[in-house]
Amino acid sequence: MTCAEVRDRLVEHVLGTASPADRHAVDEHLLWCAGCRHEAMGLAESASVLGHAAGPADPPPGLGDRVASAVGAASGRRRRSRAGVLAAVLAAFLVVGTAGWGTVMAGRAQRLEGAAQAARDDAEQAAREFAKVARDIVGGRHVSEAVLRSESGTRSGLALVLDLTEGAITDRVLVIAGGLPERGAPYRARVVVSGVSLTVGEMSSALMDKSLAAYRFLPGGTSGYDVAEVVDASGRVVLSGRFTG
Amino acid sequence: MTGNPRGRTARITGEEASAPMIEYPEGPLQPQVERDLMRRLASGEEEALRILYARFGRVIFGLGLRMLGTPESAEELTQDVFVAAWRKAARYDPSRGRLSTWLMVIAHNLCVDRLRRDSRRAVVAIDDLDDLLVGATSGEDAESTLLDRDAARRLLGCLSVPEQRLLLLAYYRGWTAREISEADRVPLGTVKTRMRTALIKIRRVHELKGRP
Repeated sequence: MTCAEVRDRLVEHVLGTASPADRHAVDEHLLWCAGCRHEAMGLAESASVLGHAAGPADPPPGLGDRVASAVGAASGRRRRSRAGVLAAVLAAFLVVGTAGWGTVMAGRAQRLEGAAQAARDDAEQAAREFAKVARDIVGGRHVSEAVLRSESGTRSGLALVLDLTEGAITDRVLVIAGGLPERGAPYRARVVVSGVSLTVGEMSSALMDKSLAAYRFLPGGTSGYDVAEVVDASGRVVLSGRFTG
Repeated sequence: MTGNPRGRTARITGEEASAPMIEYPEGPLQPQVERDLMRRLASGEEEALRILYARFGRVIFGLGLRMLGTPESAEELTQDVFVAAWRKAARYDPSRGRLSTWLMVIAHNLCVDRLRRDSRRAVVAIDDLDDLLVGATSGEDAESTLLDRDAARRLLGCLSVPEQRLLLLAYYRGWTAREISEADRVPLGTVKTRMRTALIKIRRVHELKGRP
Protein backbone atom coordinates (compact mmCIF):
# COMPACT_ATOMS: atom_id res chain seq x y z
CA MET A 1 0.00 0.00 0.00
CA THR A 2 1.41 3.40 -0.97
CA CYS A 3 1.57 6.43 1.29
CA ALA A 4 -1.25 8.07 -0.69
CA GLU A 5 -3.44 5.00 -0.28
CA VAL A 6 -2.65 4.85 3.43
CA ARG A 7 -3.42 8.51 4.02
CA ASP A 8 -6.71 8.09 2.22
CA ARG A 9 -7.59 5.43 4.79
CA LEU A 10 -6.11 7.00 7.92
CA VAL A 11 -9.25 8.83 9.00
CA GLU A 12 -11.34 5.67 9.01
CA HIS A 13 -8.44 3.83 10.57
CA VAL A 14 -8.33 6.11 13.60
CA LEU A 15 -12.12 6.26 13.83
CA GLY A 16 -12.24 2.47 13.94
CA THR A 17 -14.40 2.06 10.85
CA ALA A 18 -11.76 0.68 8.48
CA SER A 19 -12.28 -2.84 7.21
CA PRO A 20 -10.15 -5.53 8.86
CA ALA A 21 -8.09 -5.86 5.68
CA ASP A 22 -7.46 -2.12 5.48
CA ARG A 23 -6.71 -1.94 9.18
CA HIS A 24 -4.08 -4.63 8.83
CA ALA A 25 -2.54 -3.13 5.68
CA VAL A 26 -2.34 0.33 7.26
CA ASP A 27 -0.84 -1.06 10.46
CA GLU A 28 1.82 -2.84 8.44
CA HIS A 29 2.63 0.36 6.56
CA LEU A 30 2.85 2.41 9.74
CA LEU A 31 5.48 0.07 11.11
CA TRP A 32 8.07 1.40 8.70
CA CYS A 33 6.74 4.72 7.35
CA ALA A 34 7.56 7.53 9.79
CA GLY A 35 5.71 10.18 7.79
CA CYS A 36 2.41 8.34 7.73
CA ARG A 37 2.93 7.28 11.34
CA HIS A 38 3.29 10.90 12.40
CA GLU A 39 0.10 11.77 10.55
CA ALA A 40 -1.71 8.82 12.11
CA MET A 41 -0.58 9.79 15.60
CA GLY A 42 -2.05 13.26 15.27
CA LEU A 43 -5.34 11.99 13.93
CA ALA A 44 -5.50 9.25 16.58
CA GLU A 45 -5.07 11.80 19.36
CA SER A 46 -7.93 13.80 17.90
CA ALA A 47 -10.06 10.67 17.67
CA SER A 48 -9.30 9.86 21.28
CA VAL A 49 -10.94 13.15 22.22
CA LEU A 50 -14.19 11.62 21.00
CA GLY A 51 -13.67 8.70 23.35
CA HIS A 52 -12.85 10.88 26.32
CA ALA A 53 -15.98 12.92 25.67
CA ALA A 54 -17.98 9.90 26.85
CA GLY A 55 -16.64 10.59 30.29
CA PRO A 56 -15.69 8.17 33.03
CA ALA A 57 -18.24 5.98 34.77
CA ASP A 58 -18.05 4.13 38.04
CA PRO A 59 -17.50 0.43 37.38
CA PRO A 60 -19.23 -2.17 39.54
CA PRO A 61 -17.49 -3.14 42.77
CA GLY A 62 -14.74 -5.68 42.33
CA LEU A 63 -14.19 -5.11 38.63
CA GLY A 64 -10.56 -4.24 39.27
CA ASP A 65 -9.99 -7.59 40.89
CA ARG A 66 -11.79 -9.35 38.05
CA VAL A 67 -9.55 -7.51 35.58
CA ALA A 68 -6.50 -8.66 37.51
CA SER A 69 -7.86 -12.20 37.52
CA ALA A 70 -8.52 -12.11 33.77
CA VAL A 71 -4.99 -10.93 33.03
CA GLY A 72 -3.60 -13.41 35.54
CA ALA A 73 -5.51 -16.24 33.91
CA ALA A 74 -4.30 -15.24 30.46
CA SER A 75 -0.77 -14.92 31.80
CA GLY A 76 -0.99 -18.29 33.52
CA ARG A 77 -2.24 -19.99 30.37
CA ARG A 78 0.59 -18.51 28.43
CA ARG A 79 3.21 -19.48 31.00
CA ARG A 80 1.96 -23.05 31.17
CA SER A 81 1.79 -23.33 27.41
CA ARG A 82 5.19 -21.79 26.99
CA ALA A 83 6.68 -24.11 29.54
CA GLY A 84 5.42 -27.10 27.63
CA VAL A 85 6.58 -25.81 24.29
CA LEU A 86 9.90 -24.71 25.69
CA ALA A 87 10.55 -28.17 27.07
CA ALA A 88 9.79 -29.74 23.72
CA VAL A 89 11.93 -27.30 21.80
CA LEU A 90 14.79 -27.64 24.24
CA ALA A 91 14.59 -31.40 23.89
CA ALA A 92 14.84 -31.02 20.14
CA PHE A 93 17.79 -28.71 20.54
CA LEU A 94 19.62 -31.07 22.83
CA VAL A 95 18.97 -34.04 20.60
CA VAL A 96 20.23 -32.09 17.65
CA GLY A 97 23.23 -30.90 19.55
CA THR A 98 24.31 -34.29 20.79
CA ALA A 99 23.20 -36.76 18.18
CA GLY A 100 22.58 -34.90 14.96
CA TRP A 101 19.45 -34.39 12.98
CA GLY A 102 19.22 -38.02 11.98
CA THR A 103 17.88 -39.10 15.35
CA VAL A 104 15.41 -36.31 15.86
CA MET A 105 12.47 -37.98 14.24
CA ALA A 106 11.88 -41.68 13.84
CA GLY A 107 11.54 -42.87 10.29
CA ARG A 108 13.32 -39.90 8.82
CA ALA A 109 16.87 -40.86 9.65
CA GLN A 110 18.08 -41.28 6.14
CA ARG A 111 16.76 -37.99 4.88
CA LEU A 112 17.76 -36.03 7.95
CA GLU A 113 21.26 -37.39 7.96
CA GLY A 114 21.99 -35.24 4.95
CA ALA A 115 20.35 -32.28 6.60
CA ALA A 116 22.48 -32.84 9.67
CA GLN A 117 25.66 -32.35 7.73
CA ALA A 118 24.24 -29.29 6.05
CA ALA A 119 23.14 -27.97 9.40
CA ARG A 120 26.61 -28.27 10.80
CA ASP A 121 28.02 -26.43 7.82
CA ASP A 122 25.45 -23.75 7.44
CA ALA A 123 23.79 -21.91 10.31
CA GLU A 124 20.99 -20.65 8.12
CA GLN A 125 20.17 -24.14 7.03
CA ALA A 126 20.40 -25.26 10.64
CA ALA A 127 17.84 -22.69 11.64
CA ARG A 128 15.46 -23.83 8.93
CA GLU A 129 15.88 -27.44 9.93
CA PHE A 130 15.37 -26.56 13.55
CA ALA A 131 12.18 -24.72 12.67
CA LYS A 132 10.92 -27.82 10.90
CA VAL A 133 11.59 -29.91 13.96
CA ALA A 134 9.99 -27.38 16.28
CA ARG A 135 6.91 -27.22 14.08
CA ASP A 136 6.70 -30.99 13.89
CA ILE A 137 6.94 -31.29 17.64
CA VAL A 138 4.76 -28.47 18.87
CA GLY A 139 2.88 -27.34 15.78
CA GLY A 140 2.66 -23.82 14.54
CA ARG A 141 3.55 -21.68 11.63
CA HIS A 142 6.47 -19.73 10.37
CA VAL A 143 5.64 -16.02 10.63
CA SER A 144 8.71 -14.24 9.37
CA GLU A 145 12.44 -14.57 9.05
CA ALA A 146 15.53 -12.42 8.68
CA VAL A 147 18.66 -13.64 6.95
CA LEU A 148 21.64 -12.47 9.00
CA ARG A 149 24.59 -11.03 7.16
CA SER A 150 27.92 -9.64 8.20
CA GLU A 151 29.13 -6.21 7.13
CA SER A 152 30.73 -7.82 4.10
CA GLY A 153 27.36 -9.26 3.09
CA THR A 154 28.17 -12.87 3.88
CA ARG A 155 25.12 -14.88 4.93
CA SER A 156 25.79 -16.13 8.44
CA GLY A 157 22.54 -17.18 10.00
CA LEU A 158 18.85 -16.74 10.34
CA ALA A 159 16.38 -15.24 12.79
CA LEU A 160 12.95 -16.84 12.84
CA VAL A 161 9.63 -15.87 14.33
CA LEU A 162 7.49 -18.93 14.86
CA ASP A 163 3.84 -18.68 15.76
CA LEU A 164 3.32 -21.74 17.88
CA THR A 165 -0.28 -22.87 18.07
CA GLU A 166 -0.49 -24.21 21.55
CA GLY A 167 -2.94 -22.54 23.89
CA ALA A 168 -2.40 -18.83 24.20
CA ILE A 169 1.11 -18.94 22.77
CA THR A 170 1.79 -16.18 20.34
CA ASP A 171 5.36 -15.57 19.31
CA ARG A 172 8.81 -16.83 19.82
CA VAL A 173 11.99 -15.48 18.31
CA LEU A 174 14.86 -17.77 17.50
CA VAL A 175 18.22 -16.56 16.23
CA ILE A 176 20.87 -18.94 14.97
CA ALA A 177 24.20 -17.69 13.68
CA GLY A 178 27.38 -19.32 12.46
CA GLY A 179 30.97 -18.50 11.56
CA LEU A 180 31.54 -16.05 14.39
CA PRO A 181 35.07 -15.89 15.83
CA GLU A 182 35.57 -16.82 19.46
CA ARG A 183 37.35 -13.56 20.21
CA GLY A 184 34.09 -11.65 19.95
CA ALA A 185 32.23 -13.84 22.42
CA PRO A 186 29.94 -13.71 24.24
CA TYR A 187 27.55 -12.75 21.49
CA ARG A 188 24.05 -11.51 22.17
CA ALA A 189 21.05 -11.53 19.89
CA ARG A 190 18.42 -8.83 19.82
CA VAL A 191 15.43 -7.91 17.72
CA VAL A 192 13.77 -4.61 16.99
CA VAL A 193 10.02 -4.90 17.38
CA SER A 194 7.93 -1.91 16.34
CA GLY A 195 10.96 0.28 16.84
CA VAL A 196 11.80 -1.07 20.28
CA SER A 197 15.01 -3.04 20.73
CA LEU A 198 14.52 -6.23 22.73
CA THR A 199 17.25 -8.59 23.88
CA VAL A 200 16.73 -12.17 22.81
CA GLY A 201 19.56 -13.43 24.92
CA GLU A 202 23.15 -14.52 25.05
CA MET A 203 23.98 -16.92 22.28
CA SER A 204 24.94 -20.38 23.38
CA SER A 205 27.37 -22.57 21.48
CA ALA A 206 26.48 -25.75 23.32
CA LEU A 207 23.38 -26.43 21.37
CA MET A 208 24.55 -27.01 17.88
CA ASP A 209 27.86 -27.69 16.21
CA LYS A 210 29.53 -24.60 14.80
CA SER A 211 26.41 -22.55 15.43
CA LEU A 212 25.22 -20.24 18.16
CA ALA A 213 21.62 -20.00 19.17
CA ALA A 214 19.46 -17.78 21.33
CA TYR A 215 15.73 -17.63 21.68
CA ARG A 216 12.94 -16.15 23.77
CA PHE A 217 9.19 -15.77 23.84
CA LEU A 218 7.78 -12.34 23.20
CA PRO A 219 4.29 -11.20 24.12
CA GLY A 220 2.07 -9.57 21.58
CA GLY A 221 0.93 -10.31 18.07
CA THR A 222 2.82 -11.70 15.16
CA SER A 223 3.68 -8.50 13.38
CA GLY A 224 6.04 -5.64 13.94
CA TYR A 225 9.32 -7.51 13.77
CA ASP A 226 11.73 -5.18 12.02
CA VAL A 227 15.35 -6.25 12.40
CA ALA A 228 17.40 -9.00 14.03
CA GLU A 229 20.96 -8.33 15.13
CA VAL A 230 23.86 -10.14 16.75
CA VAL A 231 26.28 -8.01 18.74
CA ASP A 232 29.67 -9.00 20.10
CA ALA A 233 31.02 -8.52 23.60
CA SER A 234 31.90 -4.90 22.85
CA GLY A 235 28.37 -4.17 21.67
CA ARG A 236 29.32 -3.93 18.00
CA VAL A 237 26.72 -5.24 15.55
CA VAL A 238 28.40 -8.09 13.70
CA LEU A 239 25.36 -9.56 11.97
CA SER A 240 22.05 -8.06 11.05
CA GLY A 241 19.05 -8.76 8.88
CA ARG A 242 15.62 -7.32 8.20
CA PHE A 243 12.58 -9.50 8.77
CA THR A 244 10.46 -10.38 5.80
CA GLY A 245 6.99 -11.85 6.03
CA MET B 1 -9.31 -3.10 43.80
CA THR B 2 -10.51 0.45 43.75
CA GLY B 3 -9.66 3.15 41.30
CA ASN B 4 -9.30 6.87 41.48
CA PRO B 5 -8.04 8.07 38.13
CA ARG B 6 -8.36 11.71 39.01
CA GLY B 7 -6.93 11.49 42.47
CA ARG B 8 -3.53 12.68 43.55
CA THR B 9 -2.63 9.20 44.64
CA ALA B 10 -3.97 5.76 43.99
CA ARG B 11 -4.21 3.09 46.63
CA ILE B 12 -3.54 -0.26 45.12
CA THR B 13 -5.76 -2.45 47.17
CA GLY B 14 -5.71 -5.82 45.52
CA GLU B 15 -5.31 -7.64 48.80
CA GLU B 16 -6.53 -4.65 50.78
CA ALA B 17 -4.54 -4.83 54.02
CA SER B 18 -1.15 -5.81 52.63
CA ALA B 19 -1.27 -3.86 49.39
CA PRO B 20 1.39 -1.21 48.88
CA MET B 21 0.57 2.45 48.41
CA ILE B 22 1.61 3.70 45.01
CA GLU B 23 1.85 7.42 44.52
CA TYR B 24 2.07 9.20 41.23
CA PRO B 25 1.46 12.77 40.21
CA GLU B 26 -1.91 14.00 39.16
CA GLY B 27 -2.37 14.58 35.44
CA PRO B 28 -0.76 12.93 32.45
CA LEU B 29 2.23 10.68 33.04
CA GLN B 30 5.59 11.53 31.54
CA PRO B 31 6.57 9.36 28.55
CA GLN B 32 9.37 7.66 30.49
CA VAL B 33 6.98 6.83 33.32
CA GLU B 34 4.52 5.40 30.81
CA ARG B 35 7.25 3.32 29.19
CA ASP B 36 8.40 1.95 32.55
CA LEU B 37 4.84 1.16 33.53
CA MET B 38 4.27 -0.80 30.34
CA ARG B 39 7.55 -2.64 30.72
CA ARG B 40 6.49 -3.68 34.19
CA LEU B 41 3.16 -4.79 32.82
CA ALA B 42 4.86 -6.78 30.05
CA SER B 43 6.97 -8.54 32.64
CA GLY B 44 3.84 -9.59 34.49
CA GLU B 45 3.82 -7.22 37.46
CA GLU B 46 0.31 -7.09 38.83
CA GLU B 47 1.06 -3.81 40.54
CA ALA B 48 1.57 -2.17 37.16
CA LEU B 49 -1.79 -3.51 36.03
CA ARG B 50 -3.46 -2.10 39.12
CA ILE B 51 -1.90 1.30 38.56
CA LEU B 52 -3.17 1.29 35.00
CA TYR B 53 -6.62 0.24 36.11
CA ALA B 54 -6.75 2.90 38.81
CA ARG B 55 -5.85 5.51 36.26
CA PHE B 56 -7.80 4.45 33.20
CA GLY B 57 -10.40 1.93 34.35
CA ARG B 58 -13.25 4.40 34.80
CA VAL B 59 -12.58 6.06 31.45
CA ILE B 60 -12.58 2.72 29.63
CA PHE B 61 -15.66 1.52 31.48
CA GLY B 62 -17.38 4.80 30.60
CA LEU B 63 -16.58 4.37 26.92
CA GLY B 64 -17.85 0.81 27.00
CA LEU B 65 -21.05 1.86 28.72
CA ARG B 66 -21.63 4.58 26.19
CA MET B 67 -20.91 2.44 23.13
CA LEU B 68 -22.24 -0.96 24.18
CA GLY B 69 -25.15 0.16 26.28
CA THR B 70 -25.07 -2.15 29.29
CA PRO B 71 -22.89 -2.40 32.41
CA GLU B 72 -22.33 -6.09 31.68
CA SER B 73 -20.94 -5.37 28.23
CA ALA B 74 -18.86 -2.50 29.56
CA GLU B 75 -17.41 -4.80 32.21
CA GLU B 76 -16.49 -7.44 29.64
CA LEU B 77 -14.94 -4.76 27.49
CA THR B 78 -12.87 -3.42 30.38
CA GLN B 79 -11.48 -6.85 31.10
CA ASP B 80 -10.72 -7.42 27.42
CA VAL B 81 -8.94 -4.07 27.13
CA PHE B 82 -6.57 -4.78 29.99
CA VAL B 83 -5.85 -8.31 28.79
CA ALA B 84 -5.10 -6.86 25.34
CA ALA B 85 -2.93 -4.15 26.90
CA TRP B 86 -0.95 -6.79 28.76
CA ARG B 87 -0.46 -8.82 25.57
CA LYS B 88 0.70 -5.75 23.61
CA ALA B 89 2.62 -4.06 26.43
CA ALA B 90 6.09 -4.99 25.17
CA ARG B 91 5.40 -3.13 21.96
CA TYR B 92 4.12 0.06 23.50
CA ASP B 93 6.27 2.98 22.35
CA PRO B 94 5.56 6.37 23.95
CA SER B 95 7.16 8.16 21.02
CA ARG B 96 4.27 6.93 18.91
CA GLY B 97 1.51 8.30 21.07
CA ARG B 98 0.36 8.75 24.62
CA LEU B 99 -0.64 5.84 26.77
CA SER B 100 -4.16 7.18 27.19
CA THR B 101 -4.54 7.39 23.41
CA TRP B 102 -3.13 3.89 22.99
CA LEU B 103 -5.57 2.44 25.50
CA MET B 104 -8.50 4.32 24.04
CA VAL B 105 -7.65 2.98 20.58
CA ILE B 106 -7.62 -0.56 21.96
CA ALA B 107 -10.90 0.02 23.79
CA HIS B 108 -12.60 1.66 20.85
CA ASN B 109 -11.48 -1.00 18.36
CA LEU B 110 -12.79 -3.71 20.67
CA CYS B 111 -16.09 -1.85 21.01
CA VAL B 112 -16.48 -1.50 17.25
CA ASP B 113 -15.57 -5.14 16.71
CA ARG B 114 -18.17 -6.15 19.27
CA LEU B 115 -20.84 -3.95 17.75
CA ARG B 116 -20.20 -5.44 14.34
CA ARG B 117 -20.09 -8.98 15.67
CA ASP B 118 -23.28 -8.59 17.64
CA SER B 119 -25.09 -6.65 14.92
CA ARG B 120 -26.02 -4.09 17.52
CA ARG B 121 -24.86 -1.10 15.64
CA ALA B 122 -27.91 0.95 16.58
CA VAL B 123 -27.32 0.62 20.30
CA VAL B 124 -26.47 4.27 20.53
CA ALA B 125 -28.84 6.49 18.60
CA ILE B 126 -27.34 9.70 17.36
CA ASP B 127 -29.79 11.69 19.48
CA ASP B 128 -28.35 9.98 22.52
CA LEU B 129 -25.00 11.49 21.72
CA ASP B 130 -26.14 15.07 22.02
CA ASP B 131 -25.14 15.22 25.64
CA LEU B 132 -21.55 14.63 24.57
CA LEU B 133 -21.66 18.14 23.26
CA VAL B 134 -23.06 19.74 26.38
CA GLY B 135 -20.65 22.43 27.35
CA ALA B 136 -18.94 22.09 24.01
CA THR B 137 -19.73 25.61 23.00
CA SER B 138 -16.23 26.91 22.66
CA GLY B 139 -12.81 25.50 21.97
CA GLU B 140 -11.25 28.50 23.63
CA ASP B 141 -11.39 27.09 27.10
CA ALA B 142 -10.15 23.63 26.27
CA GLU B 143 -7.84 22.35 28.94
CA SER B 144 -4.74 20.47 28.13
CA THR B 145 -5.64 17.10 29.50
CA LEU B 146 -7.64 14.81 27.24
CA LEU B 147 -8.50 12.65 30.22
CA ASP B 148 -10.91 15.33 31.28
CA ARG B 149 -14.37 14.82 29.87
CA ASP B 150 -15.27 18.48 29.95
CA ALA B 151 -12.04 19.44 28.24
CA ALA B 152 -12.70 16.84 25.54
CA ARG B 153 -16.22 18.17 25.02
CA ARG B 154 -14.94 21.71 24.79
CA LEU B 155 -12.47 20.57 22.15
CA LEU B 156 -15.37 19.13 20.18
CA GLY B 157 -16.92 22.57 20.47
CA CYS B 158 -14.44 23.86 17.92
CA LEU B 159 -16.33 21.87 15.28
CA SER B 160 -19.45 22.81 13.42
CA VAL B 161 -22.58 20.80 14.25
CA PRO B 162 -22.37 18.82 10.97
CA GLU B 163 -18.72 18.01 11.67
CA GLN B 164 -19.56 16.86 15.19
CA ARG B 165 -22.33 14.65 13.82
CA LEU B 166 -20.02 13.07 11.25
CA LEU B 167 -17.39 12.11 13.80
CA LEU B 168 -19.90 10.91 16.38
CA LEU B 169 -21.68 8.71 13.83
CA ALA B 170 -18.38 7.12 12.86
CA TYR B 171 -16.85 6.82 16.31
CA TYR B 172 -19.85 5.83 18.41
CA ARG B 173 -22.05 4.03 15.90
CA GLY B 174 -19.32 2.58 13.73
CA TRP B 175 -20.73 4.01 10.53
CA THR B 176 -18.22 3.90 7.70
CA ALA B 177 -17.62 6.90 5.48
CA ARG B 178 -19.41 5.04 2.71
CA GLU B 179 -22.47 4.40 4.89
CA ILE B 180 -22.63 8.06 5.88
CA SER B 181 -22.16 9.04 2.26
CA GLU B 182 -25.11 6.89 1.20
CA ALA B 183 -27.32 7.99 4.09
CA ASP B 184 -26.64 11.68 3.56
CA ARG B 185 -26.40 11.42 -0.24
CA VAL B 186 -23.08 13.18 -0.17
CA PRO B 187 -20.10 12.02 -2.27
CA LEU B 188 -17.80 9.62 -0.46
CA GLY B 189 -14.77 11.83 -1.05
CA THR B 190 -16.58 14.77 0.51
CA VAL B 191 -17.42 12.78 3.62
CA LYS B 192 -13.82 11.67 4.01
CA THR B 193 -12.53 15.19 3.52
CA ARG B 194 -14.95 16.59 6.10
CA MET B 195 -13.98 13.92 8.62
CA ARG B 196 -10.33 14.63 8.08
CA THR B 197 -10.84 18.37 8.35
CA ALA B 198 -12.73 17.93 11.60
CA LEU B 199 -10.01 15.78 13.16
CA ILE B 200 -7.33 18.25 12.10
CA LYS B 201 -9.33 21.10 13.65
CA ILE B 202 -9.39 19.26 16.96
CA ARG B 203 -5.66 18.68 16.76
CA ARG B 204 -4.90 22.31 15.99
CA VAL B 205 -7.00 23.63 18.85
CA HIS B 206 -5.38 21.11 21.15
CA GLU B 207 -1.90 22.10 20.01
CA LEU B 208 -2.68 25.76 20.53
CA LYS B 209 -3.45 24.96 24.14
CA GLY B 210 -0.18 23.09 24.51
CA ARG B 211 0.45 19.45 25.02
CA PRO B 212 0.48 18.44 28.68
